[in-house]
Amino acid sequence: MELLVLIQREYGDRVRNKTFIVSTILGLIAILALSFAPAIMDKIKSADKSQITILEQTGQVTTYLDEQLQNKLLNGERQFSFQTVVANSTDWADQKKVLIEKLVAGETSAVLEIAPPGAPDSVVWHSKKIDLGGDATKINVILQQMTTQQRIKASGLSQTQLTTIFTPLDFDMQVEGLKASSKEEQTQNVTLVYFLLFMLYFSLIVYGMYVANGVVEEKSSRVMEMMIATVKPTTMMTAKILGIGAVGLTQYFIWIGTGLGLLTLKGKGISLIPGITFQVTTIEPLYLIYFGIFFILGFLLYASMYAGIGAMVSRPEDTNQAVGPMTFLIVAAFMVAMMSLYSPDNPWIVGLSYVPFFTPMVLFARIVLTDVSTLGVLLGILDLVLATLLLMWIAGKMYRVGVLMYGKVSWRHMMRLVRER
Amino acid sequence: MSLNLISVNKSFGDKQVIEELDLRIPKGEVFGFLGPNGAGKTTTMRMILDIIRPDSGQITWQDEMVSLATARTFGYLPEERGLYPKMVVDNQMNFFARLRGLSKAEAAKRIGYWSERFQLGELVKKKANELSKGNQQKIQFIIAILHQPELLILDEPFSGLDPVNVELLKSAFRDLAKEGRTILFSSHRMEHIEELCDSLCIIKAGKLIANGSVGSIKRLTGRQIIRLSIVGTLDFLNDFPLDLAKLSSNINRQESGETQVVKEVEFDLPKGIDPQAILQVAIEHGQIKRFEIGDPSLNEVFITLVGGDV
Repeated sequence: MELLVLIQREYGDRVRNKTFIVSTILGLIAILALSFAPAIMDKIKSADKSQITILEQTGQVTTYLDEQLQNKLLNGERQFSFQTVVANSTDWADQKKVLIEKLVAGETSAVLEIAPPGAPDSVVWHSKKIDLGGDATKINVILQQMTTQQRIKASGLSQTQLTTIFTPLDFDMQVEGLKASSKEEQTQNVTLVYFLLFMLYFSLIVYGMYVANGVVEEKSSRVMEMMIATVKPTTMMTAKILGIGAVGLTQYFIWIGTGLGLLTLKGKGISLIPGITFQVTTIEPLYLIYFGIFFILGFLLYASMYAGIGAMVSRPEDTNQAVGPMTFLIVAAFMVAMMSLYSPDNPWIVGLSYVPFFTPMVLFARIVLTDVSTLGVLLGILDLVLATLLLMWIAGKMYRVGVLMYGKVSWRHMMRLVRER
Repeated sequence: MSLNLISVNKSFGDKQVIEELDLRIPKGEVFGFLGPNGAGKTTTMRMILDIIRPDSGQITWQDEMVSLATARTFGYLPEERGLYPKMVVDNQMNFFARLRGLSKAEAAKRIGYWSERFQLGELVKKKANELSKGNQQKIQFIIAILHQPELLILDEPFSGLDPVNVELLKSAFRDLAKEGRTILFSSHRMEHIEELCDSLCIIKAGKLIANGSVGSIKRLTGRQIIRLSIVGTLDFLNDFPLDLAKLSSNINRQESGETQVVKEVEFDLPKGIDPQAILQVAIEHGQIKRFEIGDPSLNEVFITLVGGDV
C-alpha cells in the first residue's frame, strides 16, 4: 500500500515533468527521422549519378564498360551512364577540347580519354575533383580486366582456356555450434546487440541519474526527515527505483511502439547501418527475453548504487561530481561489451562477463554472439541477482543514515553511522 | 498511557548530547520542551520518532518501545521544514495522508477542512516552492495532523509565522488538546508556552534542569516580583535595601499623560521584606496606579535557570 503510494508519486511526478515530455518528443522525432532515412538517403544519393563521356577511336570500350559496370544506386537507378565520342588522330585534339569545355561547364561528370593517338596503352581521366577510390577506381579496375583478357587472347589462348583460368574458387563458409548459421544472421545479431547495448547504456546513465537526483532532491529539500519517520528507507528506495524504472519503460514503450508501428506500416526493414537491413520478424525472441532480464537486473544494480551515492550528497550541484565514478563504470562496461562484439570468446571478456557490473552488457552480448551454456547464463543471472540484493541493502543503509548528514560526508563517517545508526 | 523517556543517553562521537534524560508526559497533556539552542531538543524528538536511536535507555509510548510502527502514528513537524519542491501542495498533502493509510477521499475531506481553516485558498493549487516559508510551514503542520495522531511532536511550530497565523495555529492547538491528543512542542517564545502548556521541562546541555507544571516552574527560582506604577516619586525605595540605580535594568519608564507623570518599576522582592510595608510607604509618596506581587515571567525564569545572571 505504502509502496504503491510512493511509486505513484515517483512515477506521476516525473511523467508530468517537462524534461520527460521534451525528451520523449525528441526521441520520437529521432525515430521518425531514422525510419524515413532511407527515403531521404535515396534523394541525396541521386546526386551521385555519374555521366561519363568517353573519347575513343572505336566505340568498343564504351560498350564493354556499359555491360560491365552495372552498379546501382539505393533507389535502383544505374550509377553510371556512358556517352561515346569517336575520333581519329586528325580530329582528336579538337574533340578533346570541346569535351573538356563541356566538363568545365558541368555538362558531364568526367571525360575519359582512351588510347589517344600515339599512346595505345594510356587512359586519361579528366575530372573536376580529385577522385579517391570512387568512380575512377571502379573504371580503372574494369579497364584493367579488359586489357588483361585482350592480352591473354592475343597470346593465343582459346576462349575455353580463358574461362578455365578465370573461374572463381567456390569459397563457402559453414559455422558450427553457433546459433547464427549464416553470415547475414550473424551480422543481424551484431546489429541487434549493438542497438540493445546502446539502449541499456543510455538507460543506465539517464535513469540512474534520475534516481540520484531524486534522492538528492529529497535530502536538499529536507523532506527526507518526514519520510523516514513514516516509511522504511528500503521501501522508499525500492519505490524510487521502481517508479523511475516504470518511467523509463513508459518512454521505451512510446518509442519502440512508434518504431514498430512505422516498420509494419512501411513493410520494409529499417536500415540502421547503410546496406544492412533489419527485419523485425527474424529477431530471435529468446534474445529479447534475455535482454529484458539483463535490462531489469542491470538497472536495479546500477540504480541502487546511484541511490546510495545520492544519499551521500547534500547539495544538488554536487551530484554530478559524485556520480562521476559510476558513469565511468558504465562507460567501461559498454567498452568491454563493444570489444566482445569482435571476440566474444576472449578469456578476459569471458571472465569480465561474470563481474556483476559488466554482466548485463557483456554476458548479454556473448549469449547472442557465441555459444554460452545454459549453466553459464544461469550463473551470470545468479551472480547479478546476489550483487543487486547486496548493493540494494547497502544503499538502503546509506540512505537511512544519509538523511542526518549534511555538508561534507566522509566514507569513514558513513561507515560508522551505518554500523551504529 | 503516556510517553516515557527513561535514562536516555546519546552521544555523537565524543560529544554527549543527551545525558540520563528522564521524562514522563501523560496522555492528553500539552507539554512545552524548552532549552537553549543546541541543548538536545531536536535530538530528543528524533529519538522519540526512532529516526536516531539512544545509546542507552528506553523510550516508550503507551508501554511500547518506539519504532517506525509507532512513529508512523505520530504527527511530526521537523525543525528543518521540507516539502517536495515541485509537487502541487494539494497533491502533496494527499500523498502524505495516504502514506499514513488514509483513503484518497478521506484525505481530501480533511485537507479541505484544514485548508479552509488555515485560509490557504488558492495556495493549495500551487507548487510548494512557490509558497512563502510561513505558508509552507502551515502546510507541514496540516500534514502532521491529517491522520489525527494521538501524539504530536512539533519542533518550533510558531517560528517564522506572522501574528495572524500564530493565532490560527494556537486555536488549532487548543482544539487538538481538547480532543485529548498529547502534544510535545518546543519554542523559544515563552509567552506561547505559558499560554498553551500544562507543564514543561527545560533541558540544558542534554540534562534536565526543570520539569513540572508552569506554575511550579515559575516558583522554582524562589523569586517574587513587585510591579509598581505610581504618580509621584520612587525615591523612598532607597530606604529599603534596594538600589534604584541598579533597578534600571528592569522596566523603568516614564509615561507622559496630560497632567501627570506615571513612573513604573519592576523589581525582585528582597528577601525578608514584607511587600505590604513597601505598599504602605508607597501610598505616602504618591498616587498608586498599580501594585502587584507576582511570579517572575517564564522568560525570566528561563534566563535565570539556563544561565546568564539577571
